[in-house]
Amino acid sequence: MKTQRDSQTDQVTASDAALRRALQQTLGKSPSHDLEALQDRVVSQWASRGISTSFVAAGPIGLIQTTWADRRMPLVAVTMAVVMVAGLQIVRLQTEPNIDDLLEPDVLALMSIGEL
Amino acid sequence: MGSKIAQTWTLWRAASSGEDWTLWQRARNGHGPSAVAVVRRLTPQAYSLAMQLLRRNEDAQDVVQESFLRLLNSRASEAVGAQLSTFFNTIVINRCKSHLIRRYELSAEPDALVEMADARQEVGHVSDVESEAWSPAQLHAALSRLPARQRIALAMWAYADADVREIARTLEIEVNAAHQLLYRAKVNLRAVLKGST
Repeated sequence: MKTQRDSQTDQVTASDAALRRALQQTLGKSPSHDLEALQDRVVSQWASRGISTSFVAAGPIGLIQTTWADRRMPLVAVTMAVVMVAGLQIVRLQTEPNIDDLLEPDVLALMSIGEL
Repeated sequence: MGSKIAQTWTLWRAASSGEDWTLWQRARNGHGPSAVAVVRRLTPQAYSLAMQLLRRNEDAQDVVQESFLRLLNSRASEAVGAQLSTFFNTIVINRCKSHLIRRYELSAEPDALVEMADARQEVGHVSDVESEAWSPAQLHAALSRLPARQRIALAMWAYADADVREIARTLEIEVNAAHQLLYRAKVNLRAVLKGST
């Protein structure tokens, strides 16, 4: 059987729990100030501390973006790739006959028309 | 557009299903959208809490910014199993405490100590279970009328799951004094609320 003291304690506990719940609900109802600006400031503050806040697209483009950001691909690698592609292009151009070569009449053609 | 919605939905689901710490970890690893999600999720309650304790918009905004920096540099192990929001509330309360000290509103003046000692005399008026009838605006107004120490004690108790020992440690007072302070804060808050209804 509950004593009067136990009953009072239960009431206090229930009252405290209700008060706590009511207080917690007040945090969900933020005073109507411009929180957007505050949030933007916090995000740019975080960004200045090394967090990228640019939007990452979904799908393959996002994957490339993420890979790029995560691995911090060095600029040297990109430069080397560009140089390599340019070098291959030069070699390919050199092996192909240029327009002057193509316009030069060959020996057989000259013989057939009686020039030689 | 579709991919933006999909990503927002994923972030929202992660946040609402108790994965706040995962979001925070991703934010710390440099994932921008997670950082934005964490900030958007925690800012309203942090600002509201800071306003309750500091009562000044500029100070509250400063505290929120400082608290986010502190959160960014903290380790998950410091939270000792608490939810991210509860852990963040603790950071906000501590930052508010520093501001109140700077504003000379949190000193253990003799008057404050006498006030705490008087608390025992007011036992017996706390049995009304009517708290749920109070509106947030009434609670905000009532809280703003309490002394700074009582506001801090109530905030730690209600928003940071702190017990009397933690309140005592934070406010650098004896455990018994913290117990009295918290009790007094609840009694006063109820008294103000009763007066306002």
